[in-house]
Amino acid sequence: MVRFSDALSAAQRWFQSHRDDIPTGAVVVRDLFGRIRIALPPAEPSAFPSAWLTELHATLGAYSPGPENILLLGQDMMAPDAIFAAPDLSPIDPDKPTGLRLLDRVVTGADWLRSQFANQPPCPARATFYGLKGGVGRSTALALFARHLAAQGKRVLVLDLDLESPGVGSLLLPGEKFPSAGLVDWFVEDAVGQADEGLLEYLTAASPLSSDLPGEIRIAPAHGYNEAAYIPKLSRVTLDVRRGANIEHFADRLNRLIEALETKLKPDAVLLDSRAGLHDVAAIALTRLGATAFLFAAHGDQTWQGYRLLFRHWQTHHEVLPAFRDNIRMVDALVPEQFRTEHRAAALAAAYTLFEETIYEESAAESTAEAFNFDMNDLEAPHHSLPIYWRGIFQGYNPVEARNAVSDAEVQASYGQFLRPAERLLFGSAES
Amino acid sequence: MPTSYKDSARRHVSDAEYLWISGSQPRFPNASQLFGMSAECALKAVLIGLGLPTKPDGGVDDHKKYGHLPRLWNEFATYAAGQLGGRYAGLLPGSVGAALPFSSWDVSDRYATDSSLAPRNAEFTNHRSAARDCIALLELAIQDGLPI
Repeated sequence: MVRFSDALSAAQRWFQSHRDDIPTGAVVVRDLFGRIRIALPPAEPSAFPSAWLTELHATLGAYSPGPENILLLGQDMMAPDAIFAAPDLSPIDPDKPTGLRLLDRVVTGADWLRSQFANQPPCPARATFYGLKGGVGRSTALALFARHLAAQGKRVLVLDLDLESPGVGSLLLPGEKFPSAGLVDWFVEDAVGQADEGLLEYLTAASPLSSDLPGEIRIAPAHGYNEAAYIPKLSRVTLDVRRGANIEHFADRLNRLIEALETKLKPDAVLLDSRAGLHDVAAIALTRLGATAFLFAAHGDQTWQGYRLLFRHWQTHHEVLPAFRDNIRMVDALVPEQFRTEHRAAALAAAYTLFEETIYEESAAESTAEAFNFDMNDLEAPHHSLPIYWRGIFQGYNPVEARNAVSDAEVQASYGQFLRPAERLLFGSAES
Repeated sequence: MPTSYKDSARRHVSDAEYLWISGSQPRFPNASQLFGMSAECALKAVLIGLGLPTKPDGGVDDHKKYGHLPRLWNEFATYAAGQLGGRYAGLLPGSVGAALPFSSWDVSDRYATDSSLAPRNAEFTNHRSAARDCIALLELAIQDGLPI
């Protein structure tokens, strides 16, 4: 029986055995079911010996669409550009960028491999707070980072993109201070052309967390005050919308929303609280928005195994990595109160193993380009995690409602080694 | 001529049903032709709703093989992507299993001899069922609000 991953390998082997006779520009299309077809560009000869196609069909098993459907001829198609000019075309073998190309049709997750948006400068510093698994103190760290920046006089805009599990809004705003609309409102209104300047007014509110500071924290929560239709709105957020002749994807719409808020509010920093897990919002927030990506990890097999699934995906498409890999930084999210030194060493080693085995490049002596590789103890390396020292006082800590429950000194003791380097990553030099 | 694949899909399928429910074998071949036409139009309408480019008259560039069944099946299956495309591609009849419901359908059957068509009733029944599935796909896309 041919399984999902075997099918693509089988197609590659078939291609190798006939490569001299297959025209340049041929594309392997893997459809939403994982079935494989070979597409020939419109200008190319129209046929292969049927024996070749029968042979390919036989090697693909259930992942063949049938011998009569396995070959797609561009010259016969209604929309050949949808294949041959598709933005998602990538080399099937990343080491051979001019070789056979793959068009992978997927239901979700295409954004993990799409390029960064080219936003118009001046852009504020953007940072994404992400944890492959939730419950690691990501939102609390974000709130304290926002406060840290506001203490330097920075204007900080926080977006709660954890739409399926909103939280940072409540962390930064008492219930009665919520704005009248939330991010989900923008998406449903935008789909019918009503996301105007007026709506932007109602999307954010100032957080009391910065009331004693020279800077300001504004938050755009997932939902507005007294929301009663959240699920019906949320369930429509990721819609792709046609704009004239083009389809605007959810990622494009999210980027447009962030740009509109940046233009309006002129923040120095935009902090995005991303959905956990391998979710589309995370794909966009980590790879497409040009944000510094803080990857929160609670040391443990589950965490590293999960990150490995993601990093292996990037590894097999490493042509897209250079655009954002410099922006990645691990965060050692729950350093325990005891055995800290041992914990740090183990977490660092695990992170290094992950990076070394996946997205770090081998140093190639003959290559002129500098390889993306770091020493395990390089303090600036993406894998070199910034520690957050867990203490019981932060359990259930609400920095707005009970700020005095934890002193600034205690915040610094637990979060200082995260806050200051994180600020440096965003702004170049620490001012504190 | 202004083109509406939505209108023509509905028109062809209701005429096909009219022939079919008359209940006599000699009507089935032409009913099958119309079921196939209806399925073609329904799939084109959904593809347009998903972003397939159209000409100014609303029609697609279908002077090509893939504009017609059974090839159109293939183009639908490779064009659809994302959550929205996946919603329809997953419901496309014949998506699972080797036999595509219109694999035996051919627009040139309209020229066929009576004697060659008479034994094909089982195929025509499949065409009817698949056309109904394609119309259901179209109606779902319309209810979803796709620009069709």
